[in-house]
Amino acid sequence: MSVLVLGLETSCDETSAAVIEDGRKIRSNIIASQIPVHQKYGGVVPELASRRHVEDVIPVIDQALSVAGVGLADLDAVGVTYGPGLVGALLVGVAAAKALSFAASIPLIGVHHLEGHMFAPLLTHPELAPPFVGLIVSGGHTSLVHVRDYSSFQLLGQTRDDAAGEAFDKVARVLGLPYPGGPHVEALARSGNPTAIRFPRSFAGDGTFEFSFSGLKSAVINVLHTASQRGETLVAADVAASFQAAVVDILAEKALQALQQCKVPSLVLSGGVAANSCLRNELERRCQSAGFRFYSPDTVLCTDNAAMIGCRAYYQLQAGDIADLRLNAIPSLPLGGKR
Amino acid sequence: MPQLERLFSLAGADTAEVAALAVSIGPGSFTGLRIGLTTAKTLAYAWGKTIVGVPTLEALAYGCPCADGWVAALLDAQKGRVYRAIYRWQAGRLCEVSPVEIAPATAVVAELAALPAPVMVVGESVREHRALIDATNGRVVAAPEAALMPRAAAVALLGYEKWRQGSAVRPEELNPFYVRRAEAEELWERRLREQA
Ligand SMILES: [Zn+2]
Repeated sequence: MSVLVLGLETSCDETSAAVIEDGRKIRSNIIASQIPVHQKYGGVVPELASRRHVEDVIPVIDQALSVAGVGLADLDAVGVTYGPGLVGALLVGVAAAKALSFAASIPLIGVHHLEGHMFAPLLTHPELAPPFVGLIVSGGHTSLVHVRDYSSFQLLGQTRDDAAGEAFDKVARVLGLPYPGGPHVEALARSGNPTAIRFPRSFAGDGTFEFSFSGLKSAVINVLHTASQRGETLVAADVAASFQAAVVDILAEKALQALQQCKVPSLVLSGGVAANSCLRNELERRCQSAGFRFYSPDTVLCTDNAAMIGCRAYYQLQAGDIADLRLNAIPSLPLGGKR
Repeated sequence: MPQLERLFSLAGADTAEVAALAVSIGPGSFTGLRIGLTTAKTLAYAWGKTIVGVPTLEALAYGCPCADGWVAALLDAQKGRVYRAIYRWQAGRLCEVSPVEIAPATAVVAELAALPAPVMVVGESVREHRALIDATNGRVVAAPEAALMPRAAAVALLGYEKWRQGSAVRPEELNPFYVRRAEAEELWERRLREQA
């Protein structure tokens, strides 16, 4: 008998539901993106995100079940992101998951959003299994995690200030690119020279696994500002390419150090910025030359989605890590935090 | 949710006996509304039932019945403002006289004091604005404590009436009645107006 888990994700600006079979097979993965809702504000507006989740949550769950060809009675558990994220947004998913758990009499599983991201590549690569080092890079997070097995993780380090994806978005804004900026910066960088400008690489606290991107972001703003004051024009593509090269360099450097220290065979990249092909290619190249394997999820599994939540929930179900109906949203839930 | 489990066991009822759900749709705390509505919508979806949205102020007034008279419901809308709606009991039926609006509490109490007959006010905001209310010389009368707070039973009973009148919808069709827009939207439109 296969085990079917319904995953739910509403931590930010995607409403998503997915049905996952035996932790690895995606039977459905429905994502209602809110990008058009927030575009004109240049960022996610929490109240609008929460409002949209309430409207979308039932249709998205319904579609996930019908695409998977299953009914509520066929489910073995429901897993939901309960943090970290926007509290009002998280609460919608948590309320829906609790109601489903109650109505269908199935276990409720509270999933940490980053643990979900970390497990996303398991859905793309059947052979992948812990131990590995997870590098999660998104608009909200930049974290290195030592994944020892399916239920034991150690946070090695994270960003002290801006997340890498946030730096992409801010640089996009100063370059006059639309929101969300990451993919636009990447596209622009393709025609630029990555060595045109030498931006500083801040390896915040050398020897630790912490990141810092706010200095890099300021350096980009400064370079543009100085140029315009002098009446010079910089090639925007060069700025984008040079900035991107610096981000990739910082991430790759720390990730390789983590692989060596943890003595694990594989690096697993995930999160929204994992869709950046420059980052993927460079990590793959450096991993190969240092004798490590490199994994990243399909692009659809990079940004927020419920498939990864269903995957993570499956392994929690196996480990007996089950929540009760008092589960609450925790907006700043730490990795490995108490449930 | 743990309350819901207890509720069914207290009532000695089985979830399969539920014919439809009724839920307060607002106005009220945005987050509170979303939790209540999402829970009710999802239960209705899972049970394959329809759902009835009950305006919170109407449920409040419904909990304060009388033979013939005026009832107004007040709920906090922040920054000294209240949500208010005015109803009138006529021959055992609650009729809406003026729909939900947001206004400063002082203006609302003055408006209520000018109604053709004394009006009883319900809702948690009555406590906060009791001094204003007491200064109307009996034109506006605070309801007794027992009738001030919203009660699920009033939502269920009013929901039942509405269900019989055919106002139940499918769970995905029901959304909160926020009244106020998100602050970001208001700021955005103000900026557009200023630019124009
Ligand atoms: Zn995420």
